[in-house]
Amino acid sequence: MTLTGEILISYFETSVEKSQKIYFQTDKDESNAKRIVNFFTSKGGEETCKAAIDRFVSREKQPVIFLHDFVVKLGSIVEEINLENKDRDEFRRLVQETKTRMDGDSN
Amino acid sequence: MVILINYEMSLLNSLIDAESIISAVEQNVDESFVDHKDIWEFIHGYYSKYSKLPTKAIVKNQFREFEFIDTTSAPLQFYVDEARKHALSENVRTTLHDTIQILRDSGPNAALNFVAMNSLRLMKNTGALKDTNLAGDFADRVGDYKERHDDPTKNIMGIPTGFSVIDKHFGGWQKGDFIVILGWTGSGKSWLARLFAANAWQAGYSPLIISLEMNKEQEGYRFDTILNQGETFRNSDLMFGRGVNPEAYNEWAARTFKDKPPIHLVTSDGIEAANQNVVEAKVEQYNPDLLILDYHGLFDDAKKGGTETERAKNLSKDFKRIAVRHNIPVIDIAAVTMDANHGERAPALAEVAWSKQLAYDADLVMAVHRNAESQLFEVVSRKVRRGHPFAFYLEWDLDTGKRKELFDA
Repeated sequence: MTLTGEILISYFETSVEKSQKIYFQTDKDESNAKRIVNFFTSKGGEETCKAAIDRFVSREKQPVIFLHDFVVKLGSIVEEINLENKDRDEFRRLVQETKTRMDGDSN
Repeated sequence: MVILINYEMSLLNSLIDAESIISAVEQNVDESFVDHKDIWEFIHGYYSKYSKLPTKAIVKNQFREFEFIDTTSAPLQFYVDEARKHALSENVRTTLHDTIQILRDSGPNAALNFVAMNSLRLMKNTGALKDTNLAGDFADRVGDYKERHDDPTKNIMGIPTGFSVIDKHFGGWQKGDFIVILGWTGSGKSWLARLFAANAWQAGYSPLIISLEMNKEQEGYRFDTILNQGETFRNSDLMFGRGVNPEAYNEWAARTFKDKPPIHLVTSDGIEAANQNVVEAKVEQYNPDLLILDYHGLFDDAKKGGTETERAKNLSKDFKRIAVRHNIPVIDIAAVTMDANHGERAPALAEVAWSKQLAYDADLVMAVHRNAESQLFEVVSRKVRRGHPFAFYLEWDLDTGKRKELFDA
């Protein structure tokens, strides 16, 4: 499914509900959502977008959540997720390398 | 027979007579001068500048107190040894005198601390560092290798870690190793350190755990859980006083601990100040095979470093020295910079809290990570001074103690 502004708002709403918080919609949300989608087209796609929304929503301490606040924190959250993904890939690569070395030693 | 009255002056004369200060400098003769350090510094500086020692006349011209002494009847080494002995006696006398003063003024704890710090400094300056001739004592190395080669259960050099990956990649915990475990809060780094202690103990070694985070009961139950691996009880049974028959617990414990090496535990309720001197004193008291320090940030710095960074740095250097001086591996648990948004990954080397010194001093830095309440731990090396970097998964139920080393999550 291609990410659209509408899908993003819907996912945002669901994520907020799951965290038992309140999504406070404003008039600008639709245009902001489109901008966020454009941003994610170049920064890792739908999965990163959803992960960023979940992380933002779960970390917000206030019960009322604005999409606008997500826009403000987007850059650092995405950077953090990308760093984690890179670290996870590196960890898996090292595990495989370790396994290969262990198998080699036992032969 | 040579009778010395002025040890330092005799040494200075002997140095000039010998026309070389290289061997004296190599032996750290600097520490032997108390009264005439300025003359020694002049001679040393002159030699560095002109690649030649000054004549006695030049020295006399600079320092009126310089005396001409004929030292040709004994070799330079004799004067070096005598001056060192004399300087040490003088320093010991001064330390004891100052200690009595501190005892009067500030009480026994301050005096003890002063004695401990100065004793270590003086011992270091006596040339008590362990020197060896690698070319001459190769037979010792061959003997050690043969012993490990002939007995497959001893083929790693150090204490078995209980993890085939670490044993194969790092050779077990070896004498003088300084190992650092990193992890975010709740990542299980303290558990992992206890697991290393338990594995060493099961292999016949005696660990010493200095725990400033937990009390004796929590430590004991945790250790029992690791050893029992869910056979008789769970950690939660022991913590909440339910689920296991006391008789069964007693029977298991009596069987498990019978005729085994000691597991020494020092908790903060037993000591007033937990600094590097206390750590060293406990090592001397119990003579362990493995030392666990939990955790770095909770130890006091006996050298009274002004900032958190200085304190962490001083402790790091001294823990490494304790490992080397006492020929034991030391495992130090370190906190990482507290970032609430650290995310789901093992901490990196650059994230060690307060001081990078820990990373410099360590022979092995391991990071441990798990997602909240997960039983799947990720263990990854961040620095390996010998061997290859490694990573593996550890499936570990902390409540039962059951665990398994994995390469696939």
